[in-house]
Amino acid sequence: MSTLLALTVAGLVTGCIYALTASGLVLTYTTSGIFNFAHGAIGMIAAFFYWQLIEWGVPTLPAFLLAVLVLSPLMGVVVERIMIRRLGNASLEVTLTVTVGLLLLLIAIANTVWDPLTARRVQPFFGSHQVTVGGVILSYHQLVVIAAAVVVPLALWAFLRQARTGVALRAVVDDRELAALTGASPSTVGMIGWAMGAALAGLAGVLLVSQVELNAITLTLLVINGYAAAVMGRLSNLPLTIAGGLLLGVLQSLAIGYVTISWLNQVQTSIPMVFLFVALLIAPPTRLRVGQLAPLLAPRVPSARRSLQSALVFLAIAALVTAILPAGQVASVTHGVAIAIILLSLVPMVGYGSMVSLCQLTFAGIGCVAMAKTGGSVLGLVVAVLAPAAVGLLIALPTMRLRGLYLSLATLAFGYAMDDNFFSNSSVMTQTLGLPVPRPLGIDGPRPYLLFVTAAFTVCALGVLALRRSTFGRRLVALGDSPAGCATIGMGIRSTKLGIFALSAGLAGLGGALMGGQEGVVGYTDFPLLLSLTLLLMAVVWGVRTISGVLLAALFFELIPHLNGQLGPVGNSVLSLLVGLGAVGLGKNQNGIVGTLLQKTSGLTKLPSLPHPRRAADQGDQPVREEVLTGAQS
Amino acid sequence: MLRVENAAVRFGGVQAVNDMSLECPPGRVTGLIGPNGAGKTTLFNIITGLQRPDSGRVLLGDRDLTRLPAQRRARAGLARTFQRLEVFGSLTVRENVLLAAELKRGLSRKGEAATEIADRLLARVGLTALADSQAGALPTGSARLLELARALATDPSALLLDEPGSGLSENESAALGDLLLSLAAEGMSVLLVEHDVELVMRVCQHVYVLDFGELLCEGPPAYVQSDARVQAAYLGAELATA
Amino acid sequence: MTAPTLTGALELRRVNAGYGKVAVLHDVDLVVPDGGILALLGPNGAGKSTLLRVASGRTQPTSGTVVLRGQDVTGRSPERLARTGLCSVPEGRAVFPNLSVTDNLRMWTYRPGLSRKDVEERAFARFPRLKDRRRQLAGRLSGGEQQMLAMSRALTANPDVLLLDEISMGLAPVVAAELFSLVRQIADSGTPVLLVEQFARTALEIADTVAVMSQGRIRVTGSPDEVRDRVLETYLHADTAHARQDPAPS
Repeated sequence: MSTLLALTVAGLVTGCIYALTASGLVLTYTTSGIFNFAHGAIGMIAAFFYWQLIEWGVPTLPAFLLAVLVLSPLMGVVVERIMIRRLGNASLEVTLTVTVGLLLLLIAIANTVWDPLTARRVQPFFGSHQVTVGGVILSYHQLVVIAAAVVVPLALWAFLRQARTGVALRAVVDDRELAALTGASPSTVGMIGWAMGAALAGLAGVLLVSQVELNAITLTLLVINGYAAAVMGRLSNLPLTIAGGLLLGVLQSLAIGYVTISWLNQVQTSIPMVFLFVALLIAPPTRLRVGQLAPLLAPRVPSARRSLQSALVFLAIAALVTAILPAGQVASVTHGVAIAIILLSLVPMVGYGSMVSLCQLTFAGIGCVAMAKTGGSVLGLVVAVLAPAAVGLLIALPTMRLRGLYLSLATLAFGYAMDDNFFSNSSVMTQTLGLPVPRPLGIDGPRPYLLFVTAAFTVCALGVLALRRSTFGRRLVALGDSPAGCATIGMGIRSTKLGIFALSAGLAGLGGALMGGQEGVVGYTDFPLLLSLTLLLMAVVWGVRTISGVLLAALFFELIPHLNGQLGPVGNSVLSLLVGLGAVGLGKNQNGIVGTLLQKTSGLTKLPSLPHPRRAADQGDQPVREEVLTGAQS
Repeated sequence: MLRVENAAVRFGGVQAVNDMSLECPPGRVTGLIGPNGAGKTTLFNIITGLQRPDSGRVLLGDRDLTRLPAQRRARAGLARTFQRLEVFGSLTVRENVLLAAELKRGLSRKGEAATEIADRLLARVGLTALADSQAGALPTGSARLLELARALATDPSALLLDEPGSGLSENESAALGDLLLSLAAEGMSVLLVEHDVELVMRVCQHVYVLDFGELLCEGPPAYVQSDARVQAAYLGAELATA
Repeated sequence: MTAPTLTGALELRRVNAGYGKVAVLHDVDLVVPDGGILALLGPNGAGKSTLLRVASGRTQPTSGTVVLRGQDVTGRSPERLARTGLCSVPEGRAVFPNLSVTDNLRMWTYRPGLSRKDVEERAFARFPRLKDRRRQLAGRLSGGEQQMLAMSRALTANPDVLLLDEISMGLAPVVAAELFSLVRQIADSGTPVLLVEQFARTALEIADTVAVMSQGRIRVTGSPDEVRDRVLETYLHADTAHARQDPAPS
């Protein structure tokens, strides 16, 4: 019994941290309409900064205050100013990619400033002091966490209810334009929302840092627990969000306490996913959106004839390149083309259908493992497509009633869980070094295999274009443009969404299998979640609506390690700067690089900007809901 | 015959639609007019399934549509256009109409091909020249005609038009009037919300006037136009004393 | 058309505006005199709402200037204009539906020099019903009460100019009449009012000056008696010319 109690208390303490970070997430999301995937990364930077200050001999309290109340809000303000402000009317794939870009940028910055190979530890507050309360031992640090989790939400609640700026935060959520007409500046208020959200992220990061190892990626991804809690609060309700965080902490603690050591890691990382999926299942359905987002320029779809011609030209060039390529480069180019197939899988889903998967590389990995297990025959390739497609269906199913953002969150949680539970599982990866993958269809020799992979890419690209020209392609695009319009011409939305998600996962699976065939052996590090995010960013920045866009993205991605080698120690920071610039630039020009070029060359005029911001779109049509944030009901 | 029986919906404190009933028989254009905020668009949303009513029923023929989701109602024969445009902006003009036609035809191979339907309807609303433009780049007037063509491609028995005339030039508006009359002559039920009173008076055989979410009066256009209450609704005379 | 020679509380000089490629206002000149009510009438789609959007800084004109009390304020953000003394009550619900009555009143204090207490005292003194409902969400008030709450901003702010966009929309005639008499009182206390209305008759009764708009242009300006006959004509037989586009939010 006392174990149970102790575990529950320990879980509550962790839950407090989840609750804090999730509150910050909800605060920024409700005030700006942008879901901040970099929320955890902001907390991570705060944690590193705190460690640095301690290293420099700054006493705990000032270090804590500087990290949480100065640096974190400052990050929030800067991010809001340069990246978020222009995104008001942007589509999901753009807003999402911009914050994903920020996440990658912050991780890169941390790894540049603080060498990831050095082990760092931070002492808990008050060292090892502890008290015993009712038979449960609590460290002073835990008491601080609990105090923070009690005081901060109360202060937040009081601020939102009592302070004029707090009222203005809620007012801007309600009616941005009216808020401006009363004299409250929505942009200043938005900045305050981001500053406060970032401060909460920083607080959670600093409280957490003595509990886990100081690692940029681990700390960043721990926030997925916060996402799960926020989904419990339907991304808008603070009390429910906090309750969700606490519950998640307790469940995790109990699970860890009662499972055997060998399963520890698995349980720890799969619980947020399970939690998130349960929250998705019990969330009330979202109404069809009426009112349109700013349209992006849609590249002209090439005709069957035209795409076939381009494909033949491309293949001819590829054959030539394959023949003259230096032997040392063949492997890397082959890898790049396989990546291009994985990126190609984003074109129909993200580019046409405006749905975003954050774990495309995970699907690639499933495809790869599936083929490795069935052998490199035709059957193996079929399984490499079908297995991830089936998994994709299962993930997408619970999110069909909800907004597109929830699907992205589900994929993120899934990718996170798979990293630890699948790709590092010894029963999946048969050898310590990883899993041997055969080359499909027994194609031998590096150059023939490059040709084979290139041909596969070409065929898939032709298939994607043919898909776009078909009824299904039209359905897909229509779905991204106007769900209400779809419904009124009798189109069921779910089958289209599920279909494309499965198809896209399957295509990624094929790419993964071909990539595995090139590598020969795949392991834990080949399909990590973060790389999925990088790939998505590349694709959207280069232009996810066109084949040429993703091909360029894949080549650029393949060049990164080379550039890195060339540039030496500064390479990493230059690249992270590029990543950041890409994300910022995307906020300015949402068509991506290829889209912008097309726009410039085709002489098409800019699309008219609609006078309605997203929120005003169905004003007057909007029923009164429960009060956002504080969750009070009249 | 499209019928609405005692529909009502409330948004917070505002009774947006209150106990509203109307009939829209095939073969005629039925008008629905009233000042801004009278509840016309909300009524359209109730009929087409985008807004769940607090009470009331929607019937098409003898089929009760009240519990069906929007896409099933569309398949049952309801089509509509939107006051705030809902075109598929990333598709071309032709693709917008083609998609609706394809959904209607399903896999059947009989009769006119979907592409033929699309081209015929684009010609009918006068958009043939713009067929390959991106729909999101159309001016408002053309986008309204596109929504009309898209709605027609579902081969509806009842067609609901939410201010199709706004943004059209005089000639386009006249052509729209002719088109609506010919659609009615083909046996369609047409329900028209329109601010252009002239257009309403020309094409409607029966007009409902809404105000404050309630039915103010109904009748032939000439009768409605002379009704003191209608003038009051538009011009704001004190009804309370009348 | 009014020549821009008079000095008014608020002036629009040769303003053109629109959305994307669609032009809505064409060379609009309008002077809101320094006192009294100027009613702006016109059929739906005439560009009235767009004109108000330009005047309040929510839409930037493509050309032309906006002058507030002799000062060129073209391009100023709506929040800065509001703090300077331009009070704009937009069409539809001009309250925050998911905020309580007191929270709504709290937002009115962004006008400099107003304390929370001032606003509540003045608002509750004029509308005792709001006091009874001060804890309720504004969205759950009746339409008339919501409009009272919205108007309480105009009452407490003591603005240089008051812009009212179709405040009677969706209200029962009795309530609308009550609102109009309140507008009259505000004007009589010295605040210049620009009133945009669809309800022509009542507006004609309370206005000192009337401007009639159609197709993005001011057609006629004058005293209510001078323009009365032109109004009904413009409404029920809207002369159909080329561009009647007004994609402004309704």
